[in-house]
Amino acid sequence: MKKLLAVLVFVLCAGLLMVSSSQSGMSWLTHARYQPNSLLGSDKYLYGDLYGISYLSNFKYIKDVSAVRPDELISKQKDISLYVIGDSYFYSSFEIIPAYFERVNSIQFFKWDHSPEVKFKFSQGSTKRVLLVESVERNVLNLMNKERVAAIFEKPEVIQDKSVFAQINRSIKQILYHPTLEENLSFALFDLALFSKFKELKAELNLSLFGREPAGVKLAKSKDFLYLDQTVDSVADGSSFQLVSEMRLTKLVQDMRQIEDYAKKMGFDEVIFSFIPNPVSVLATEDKSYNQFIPRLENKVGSIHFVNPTDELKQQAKQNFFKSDSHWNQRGAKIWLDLLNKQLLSLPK
Amino acid sequence: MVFNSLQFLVFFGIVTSAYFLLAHRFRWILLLAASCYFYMAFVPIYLVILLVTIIIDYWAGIYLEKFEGRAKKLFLACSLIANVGVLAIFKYYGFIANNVYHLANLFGREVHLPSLSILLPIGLSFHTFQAMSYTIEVYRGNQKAERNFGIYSLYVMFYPQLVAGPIERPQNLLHQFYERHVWDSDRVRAGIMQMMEGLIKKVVIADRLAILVDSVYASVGTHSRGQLLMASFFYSFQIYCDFSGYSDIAIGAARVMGFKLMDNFNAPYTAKSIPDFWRRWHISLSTWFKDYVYFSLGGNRVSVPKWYFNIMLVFIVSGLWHGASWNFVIWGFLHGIFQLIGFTLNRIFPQLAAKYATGLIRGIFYRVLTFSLVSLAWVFFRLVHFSEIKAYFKQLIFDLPSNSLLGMNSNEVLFSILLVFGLYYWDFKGLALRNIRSQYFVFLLPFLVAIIYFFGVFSLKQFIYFQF
Repeated sequence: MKKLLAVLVFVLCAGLLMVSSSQSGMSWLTHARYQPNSLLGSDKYLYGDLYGISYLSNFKYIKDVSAVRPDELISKQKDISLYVIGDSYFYSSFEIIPAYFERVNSIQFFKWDHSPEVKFKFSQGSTKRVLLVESVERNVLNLMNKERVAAIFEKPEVIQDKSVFAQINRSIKQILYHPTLEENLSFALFDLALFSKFKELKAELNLSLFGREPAGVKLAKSKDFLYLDQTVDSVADGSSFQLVSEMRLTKLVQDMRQIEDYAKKMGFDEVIFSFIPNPVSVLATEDKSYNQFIPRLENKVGSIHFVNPTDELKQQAKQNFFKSDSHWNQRGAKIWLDLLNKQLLSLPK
Repeated sequence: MVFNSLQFLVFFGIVTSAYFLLAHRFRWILLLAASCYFYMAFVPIYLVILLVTIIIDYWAGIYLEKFEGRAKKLFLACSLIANVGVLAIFKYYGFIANNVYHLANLFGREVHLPSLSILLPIGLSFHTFQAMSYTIEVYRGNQKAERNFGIYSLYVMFYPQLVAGPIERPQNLLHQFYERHVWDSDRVRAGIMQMMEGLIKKVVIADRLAILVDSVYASVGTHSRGQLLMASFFYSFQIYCDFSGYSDIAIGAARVMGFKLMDNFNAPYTAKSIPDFWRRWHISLSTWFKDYVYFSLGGNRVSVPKWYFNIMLVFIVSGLWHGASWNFVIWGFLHGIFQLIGFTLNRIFPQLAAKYATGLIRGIFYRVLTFSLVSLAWVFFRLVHFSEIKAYFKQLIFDLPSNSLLGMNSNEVLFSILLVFGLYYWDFKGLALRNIRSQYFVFLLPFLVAIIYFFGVFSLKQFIYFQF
């Protein structure tokens, strides 16, 4: 009996370690977790990413994941190839297809944090090449520099310590210790709908007893929205309430110009920048004053093409965002798509 | 790999089950391999440093047994120099270089020692001291030299106590690797219960208290006197729960497999004097210093001035053992001063000695006094920079206007205070989960898991003593 117990524990733990340490194991598990009605199902993202972080039961709304329907756009000429460097806002609530834009015939999307496997090449054809640089407000200061953009288009050489010791260290770590093992184990063991009730209970207990929201999440003063903590915390980088000096804004504009110059040298005809405001900047639920980061920047950018959806999103603001997700909903996304479409139409032929 | 992680849970499950499935003759190999894996999770290449000192000490042990007289002393010196040398390079070089630079500056000179940008190997001070205790004991004839290189390596590297102790003695641990440990349900249950107690201390108490402590200590100059005192009070318990929690998990994990490691804590805040505190706090280190440094200097069998000097020296070295920084030296110095004042007062007023404080009021008075002195010293342990220490005491004395928050609401402060007093009562009564009757285990285990889950703070916060 004792031996059987030992065998059982060994097999379970070793199996868990193997699955959590391998890419294919985690892919299999993730696939199984997000199957509808799966026994191993997870509801981490079913109700919005901020519910998935916080498990606050008041925010358990099933997230509408349908995509914005494209308008019937009349177009004489589809003459733009759109290249986008962006974040999850660019594929939240709409699809990465040209149908939303009158002049666009193709879109290639590059995520900020994914460096390419192979060197970038323009697609064939004589269309106008437009680069859209998109980011949510909280990440702008961190992302807007030429090197970050260049890393997307040029397969960057990873700078690593080349000493023998460092190389041995890296090799051993790669073989024996998966870099995200802890997260993978947590996902494998506890990311089950079965445990959601316990997670909700813990979250409610901490909130009601200690007034403490789960790490990473902040409840709006009005209690009807969840925000990423970083966007509300006045001392965090990327917060809507952190003071950003005029000097820093001027530097940012210089960085944007450098990106523009770099992109044009690469072969792009036009560059458009668009920064999406943090939901809290638009919803204005807090008793702190917004640092006006995006509107102030807009006043400084001069000839740079800049799409700022802040004012439009502020109209009936609460209808433009999910309550338990860090992204806009279909209505918010549509507002931005229309503004971007207008900007693309205004570009010279 | 930290004990409060899922990685450790899985690692422990694999190693322990494999340990009981394997034949006795293969078990040390499994434990050695597991210990290497555990250690390399931090910085793999540092295993080489450990291996070098293991080889030196292994051969030193054998030659210490073979030779007598000056040759024997030479081999001991080689072993100690190798161990202290590794410590000096990895832990103290930056500190020495920095001080040389500042000292030279005082005399208008510029002296730059070459800089070494190296990370401190995790738990270096712990396993170095454990290795030194082996060669010293072999030198003294209290321990036979270990002939099996693998077993000796395991003595230095045994994973439960590898990175933060308890600092074992060869007489206690080495022979246990040869003993056949069978599955004993009571012992396994007791081990698991001790691990649970350690986890509760770490994630429920220490990491909860850390919220307030970190928030206040991050900017001591902007907090009120009351807030500083509360943070200091909490820090005393945070560091206790953090470190004794680690020790409980280490001892419990070893116990499950049948190994008996030495106790490292014994209700330290119930101590009625500073010497009493040191008999209860980090026992494996304080006895190490007592056995190998204090007694070697003559202990108390010397003149009074020499005795006082011995005490101060031991405490200052103990401070330095904790970290290569002046704040740790001051921390050790303060404990030394407290001891000397205590001894002096005891010599003048023997009837006032703590050992005679048997009544309730006197008992409380001595305990509160001891706790206050220890907490005062902890301020120097927690604050590394002199500017912070200065700001702390300036604010403590003048209580200048401040409007900083505690990082906790009043409910959480109250909850934390309840945890602290609950723990104190638990310690005072000498209670331990491992002593709970086996028939309650099935009910108690899920209950404790629920306590840890619902009231634990999960931030994968490193154990404080890992940095030493």
